[in-house]
Amino acid sequence: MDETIKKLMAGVLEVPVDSITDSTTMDTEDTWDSLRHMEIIVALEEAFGIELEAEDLMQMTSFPEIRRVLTDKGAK
Amino acid sequence: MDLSGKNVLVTGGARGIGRVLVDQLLDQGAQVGVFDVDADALTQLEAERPQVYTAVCDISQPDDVKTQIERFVEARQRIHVLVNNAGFVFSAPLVTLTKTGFVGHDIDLWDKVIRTDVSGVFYMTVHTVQHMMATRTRGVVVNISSIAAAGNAGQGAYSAAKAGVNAMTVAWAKELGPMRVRFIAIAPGFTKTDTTVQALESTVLDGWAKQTPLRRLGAPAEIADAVLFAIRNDFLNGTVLEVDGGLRI
Repeated sequence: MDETIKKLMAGVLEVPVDSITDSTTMDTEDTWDSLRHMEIIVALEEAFGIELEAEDLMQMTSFPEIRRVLTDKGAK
Repeated sequence: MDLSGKNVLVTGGARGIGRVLVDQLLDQGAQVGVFDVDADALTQLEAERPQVYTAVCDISQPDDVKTQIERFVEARQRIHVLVNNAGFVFSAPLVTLTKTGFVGHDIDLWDKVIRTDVSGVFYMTVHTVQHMMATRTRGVVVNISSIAAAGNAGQGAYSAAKAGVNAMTVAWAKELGPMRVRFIAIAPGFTKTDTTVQALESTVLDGWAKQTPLRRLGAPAEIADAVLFAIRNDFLNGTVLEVDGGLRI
């Protein structure tokens, strides 16, 4: 799951895949604005076949938090 | 998008093109809501189509728009489609020569056109899309523009307003396409609605019909049909669809 998330995030944020780490947050990435955030969310929903709630979106502001929310949602 | 069971909100849906669109949407199985400033026309709509959600709403008033959208969402849970159809058609040259001299375009009427036709679309769309985002709805917004967006002599304010609508349509399509919300503008040519007939002299309408390659004005049902196409076709986004009998070619 980690690799899929990283690839999707890297694609949307236009950064190398290996630059996405446990330290990656909205604050560390210049390109991670609110529009790109929504783009990441939609990409994750489509890739993992899940539907995220508004409150999930607020929490998914870092790579570890994205992984945690997706795990809670049963994504594999 | 399959319209069956979808919540479609239409502004200015109590009369003219909007009213015809309401019937076509209902025929497709949509759940329809109508915001209109004309309370009498809404009462008539309620009598003819009791299943339609109706609310008196002046789209040029941001607080009114916010309140009415919140009430609609409370009643119907989601908005899948917004059709920004309400508008104020107004014609006046920049300067008119009268017996007493030159008179400039009325400033209050300029403001009214911009407030209704540009700001009204903005107010409706910002609150609707905010709701779509929060509910993760892959929705559609159809803006009724006009071929006047290219610039009609004697319709400076209206032309500017509709050009603004086209620009917002494209900007929002780029901005929200990645979130799977689509934006399309439909630009009718001269269409035989009550509003158009009231706004323009019959000689002007005859003149426009003559200039149109199809030699006639459009019918409201033909514009409504284009709106349905825009909603149904999931790959249509950020475009201005001219439905004008070839007037602009």
